[in-house]
Amino acid sequence: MKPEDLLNAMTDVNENYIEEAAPADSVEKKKEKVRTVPRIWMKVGVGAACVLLCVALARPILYAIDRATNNIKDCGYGESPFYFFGFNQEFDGHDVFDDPSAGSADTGPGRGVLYQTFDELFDAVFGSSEAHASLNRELESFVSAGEPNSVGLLNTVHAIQNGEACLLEPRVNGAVSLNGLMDWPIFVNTFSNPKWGYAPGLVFLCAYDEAAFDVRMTYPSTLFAGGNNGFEYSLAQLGIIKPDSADKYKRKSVRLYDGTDVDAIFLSEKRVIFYYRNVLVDISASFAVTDDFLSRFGLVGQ
Amino acid sequence: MEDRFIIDLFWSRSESAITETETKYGGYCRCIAFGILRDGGDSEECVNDTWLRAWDSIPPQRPSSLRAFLGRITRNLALDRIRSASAAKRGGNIRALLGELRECLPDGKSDNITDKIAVTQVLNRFLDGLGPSDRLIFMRRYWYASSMEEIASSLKISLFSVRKSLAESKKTLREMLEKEDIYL
Repeated sequence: MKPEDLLNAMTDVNENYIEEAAPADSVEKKKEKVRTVPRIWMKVGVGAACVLLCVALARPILYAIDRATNNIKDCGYGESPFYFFGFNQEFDGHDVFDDPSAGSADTGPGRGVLYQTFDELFDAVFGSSEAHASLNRELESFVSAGEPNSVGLLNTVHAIQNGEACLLEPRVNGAVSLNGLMDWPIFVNTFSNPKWGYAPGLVFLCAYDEAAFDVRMTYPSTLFAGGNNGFEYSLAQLGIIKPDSADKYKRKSVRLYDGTDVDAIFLSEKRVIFYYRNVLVDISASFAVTDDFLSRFGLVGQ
Repeated sequence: MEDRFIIDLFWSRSESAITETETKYGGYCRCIAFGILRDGGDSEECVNDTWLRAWDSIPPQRPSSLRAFLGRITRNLALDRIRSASAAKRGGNIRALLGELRECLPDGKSDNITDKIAVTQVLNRFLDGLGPSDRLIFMRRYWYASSMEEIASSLKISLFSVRKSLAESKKTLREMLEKEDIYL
């Protein structure tokens, strides 16, 4: 038997099978072609929408995961003094501990020292525990002198020193301890008010809880000239952050010139430290912390 | 128009039978012819021959399925045309089909002279045993001579699925033919 015979024998198979398998005729095929075009475009459109959605959601989701995995939300104040300073090695895609000695001349933006405790941070900022203690004494003297807001301020400083979460709310011009009062884990603080005369020069800025950002805006606007955006404006003028990132009501972080978003900036007469997610990075070596620089923030010359 | 009315027209020898048949089954028959011949001109001639053959066959025949009846005529005519020397050069699709069907035929020697009716009976049993989708794919490929790409496209399945289905069906057919002592 030849394959041709098999092919010919096929012709006479049960007509039900022939009917069953009958392809659409040419007229129907044309209609199918007409319908196919919009279907293709619909698929392309849906695909593009999915991609855009993924891109839009990726950052907040990753951020939320990051926050969750660092156990920020669930950690009670005081339970772990420095819980929000984790030990992430990565800072915007590269290792911040490339040079653990940091502060060296070749440490570029986004690289440097990570302070794992506030003691380390304070030591770096104040230079010594004696300076640190001196600050406390000064603050206590303000309290005893009845300086407005000093009690709250002192509480704030102590809370920070103890690793607790605190909030200084400039709009009410006082310091409010958040212990037990609020369940968001980020502290925001400033305690470098040249008006009050003590000048350790440490500024804490903007470590916001996302949900609370709009209503819990804490910003040192009362401390520096230039209006509400004075501080960021000054940073922009100095070339540290992008000017367009100064709108604090639209951004949850400020953006550096290299495109890095940071959640907070710590300034002192010695150090400029960025807070990014749960990492503190000292980038002081990246640029000169001069008197001129500090004077713009009222940190010297008062 | 319903098939029975078209058949009545044939029986009454009305030329409108051809017009109505062309309207209803022209595309279908062209599809079969083109599947085998892969040439528009040859397909058109083949379809016209189909109408003529139908005119000659009805009466006396009164087909239960006009579609299958016309389809068979078209298929036979197209295969005959392929066999002719002039069309053989364009019979690439059929050559591919024959190559594939060759895989269905078990090797071996048999003194049996297999008639077409016996093979058709085996084919009917084989088709009866296939699942609906496998049967559809097999018929599209080896009855309607559709390409695998056309089958995949019309059934909205992957080419891989078509190939897989055909390979399994051919294996089954080969086993059935072997049991029936039908060899190459």
